[in-house]
Amino acid sequence: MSQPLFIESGGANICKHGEILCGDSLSVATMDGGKLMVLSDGLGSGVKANILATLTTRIATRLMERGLPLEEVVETLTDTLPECKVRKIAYSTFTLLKVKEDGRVYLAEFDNPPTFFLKRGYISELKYRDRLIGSRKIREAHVHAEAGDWLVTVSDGEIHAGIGGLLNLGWDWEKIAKFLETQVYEDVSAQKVAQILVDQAKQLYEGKPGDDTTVGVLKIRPKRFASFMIGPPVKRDDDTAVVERFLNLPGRKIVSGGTTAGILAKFLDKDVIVDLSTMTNKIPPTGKLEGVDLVTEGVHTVNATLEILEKVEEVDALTGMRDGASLLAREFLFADSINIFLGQAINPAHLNPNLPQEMGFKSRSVQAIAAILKERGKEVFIEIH
Amino acid sequence: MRVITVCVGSACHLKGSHEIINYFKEAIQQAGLEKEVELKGTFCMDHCTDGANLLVDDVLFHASSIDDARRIFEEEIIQKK
Repeated sequence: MSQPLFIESGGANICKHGEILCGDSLSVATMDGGKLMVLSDGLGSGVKANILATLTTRIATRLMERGLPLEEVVETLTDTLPECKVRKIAYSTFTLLKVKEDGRVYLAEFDNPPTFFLKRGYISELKYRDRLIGSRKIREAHVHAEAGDWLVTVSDGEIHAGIGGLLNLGWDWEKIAKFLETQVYEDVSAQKVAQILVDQAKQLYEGKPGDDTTVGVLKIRPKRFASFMIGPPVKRDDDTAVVERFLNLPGRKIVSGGTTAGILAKFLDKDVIVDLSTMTNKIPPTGKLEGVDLVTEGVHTVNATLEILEKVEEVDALTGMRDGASLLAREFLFADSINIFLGQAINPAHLNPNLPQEMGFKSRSVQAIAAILKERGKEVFIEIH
Repeated sequence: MRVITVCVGSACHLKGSHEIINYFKEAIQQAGLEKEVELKGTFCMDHCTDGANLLVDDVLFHASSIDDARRIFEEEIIQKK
């Protein structure tokens, strides 16, 4: 069986010089087993273009999510978009990109630059089929993507970057394609590639973009799994079964809590080595246990991790942090799919009335972390033992 | 080689194991015993209600303050040198 895929998305844009609103719109939606990206360039610039483009991406996204055929999407757009007073047409371009987690890609373009498809780092030609819907000529393509492939869609502002200035004819599709081949690799994020393309365009425009410029990037990569165990099962007899299942899941293994780490150490017949150098005033040190990727203390670390996740969205923001809570937050931000094993056994020490109340809030913090991660588009499963 | 192992689990952390570790670090340094005494951490020792817990070699002690830690260090390390 091939490994499960994940579709990572990124997007960036710059406005035409002097405009506050971007006349392009990019939307990304997670749908059952995949991602849907829609890029639209509205007629003109400024507020009017912005409204046209936003309407286009919203309508297209909603209809596609409900599985409506392309004809209906295009007809709805034609009927709904307001007419431009000057030009007497209702017009905006679009690119629809639907990528399923099994690698199936569906692409439909109307008047946008062709989408860049990179296979194993090299530009690969998409076989388009033209289709007439109403008076509009739409280009469609079906292709199969694998881990390591990229799909990049841009508005024409990107293609024209530098036109009449630094470059006579603008940046040009072929040159961008070559440039992309030097930029996409395993460790770079979709967001980073989108940002690089937009930054590059801005430079070619010498800081004064002649058109709204938008980039949408989809990176197809192996799905990242993590399993997180916190708290011992209520029934001691369940320990072995729970630990075995936990260790057999794919991906990173993370354990929080001294007793829980102890159960794993016993099962693995290894010792937990505490790394005192990771200790801070607020957060107890982390530990090392062969067979497990990260060991931290329980309740204080998890409470602190929740605080971090409420503020931080990007893994890169935590680079260089070595305390348990930051490391735990990194694991959560890095993973696409997280299995949480929440043990509800009660530690008698935590019932001590002299201890602060938050000692009892471990479950609540774990649930809150799960809610945040779900909101950020991650798969989260909680098992309570 | 003597070993002091301090619990860093949740309950002991609340009861000051962080400060106790920092105290031992300093005390070992001041006594010039870096080569003779090793300071380690451990997760839960299963005596959570008594913490902060620590082991000197294999003997369990409870320290609820830096003063306790100082007394343990004096009696168990300095005097038994």
